[in-house]
Amino acid sequence: VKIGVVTFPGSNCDYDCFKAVQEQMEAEPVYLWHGDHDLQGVDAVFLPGGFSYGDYLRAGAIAAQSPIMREVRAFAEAGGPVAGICNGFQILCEAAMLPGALMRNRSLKFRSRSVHLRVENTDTPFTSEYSLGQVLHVPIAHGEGCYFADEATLDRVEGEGLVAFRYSAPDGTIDAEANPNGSARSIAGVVNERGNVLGMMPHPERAVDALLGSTDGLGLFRSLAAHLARA
Amino acid sequence: VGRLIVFHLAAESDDEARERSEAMCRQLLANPVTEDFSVRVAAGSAR
Repeated sequence: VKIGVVTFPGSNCDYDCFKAVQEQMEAEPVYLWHGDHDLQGVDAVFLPGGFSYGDYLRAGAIAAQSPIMREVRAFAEAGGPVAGICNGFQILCEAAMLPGALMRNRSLKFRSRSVHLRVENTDTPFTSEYSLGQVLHVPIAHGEGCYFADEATLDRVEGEGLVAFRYSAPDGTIDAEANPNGSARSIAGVVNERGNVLGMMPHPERAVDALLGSTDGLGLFRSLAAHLARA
Repeated sequence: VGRLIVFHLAAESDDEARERSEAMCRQLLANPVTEDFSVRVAAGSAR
């Protein structure tokens, strides 16, 4: 099993992702370069966090136009699993591969801290090892993580079960206080209609070892490994 | 106005300039989920 981690100029979580894949999925991780048109035959793709192309214009906007994203889009359209974390989520929204957009945090401040997430959908290649309603402890680090979509889109996203994670209190309660960035309906992560593309602002790759303060991100990598083993 | 972008382009006519600018807005300069855009074309000097 081969897993691609895309490196854009300005990516800064690619190595964390690479290590998480290597150590937690028993898969071979490979770096994919933003300027290439080659996915090197990988079985899944991670778009990591960072500030791709300096996040000029809008976060993720330039990266969405990069050569590798043409291949990632075709890979996803063929059903291949693609996960975007933090900046990767912004890129997937800018590429219109996921509904909605990420705007400046409501506080207008960069937020770097741990949050709690409630698992809302376990029927995806990335969340099957979690249980529905499980509360995860995972870090966030972003300035533009406020999920936005118009009301009709939000209704559709919720109605079709596309919400993967919501910001919650430690006991799973969803309220404004537990929402670190003002995201609509406390949405922290969504999948596409087909379920094979996931975007999330929090960083599961930074929660894969007790030394990092949490191992709650492991489930995501193990879910994907299990999915690929079934495929 | 949240963002003002000014750029020069060589085009045969105002219509062509507008069409190309609107295409740029749709594809990159504006995100239709969060932004609206309008384009104003003015003749400049050829360089």
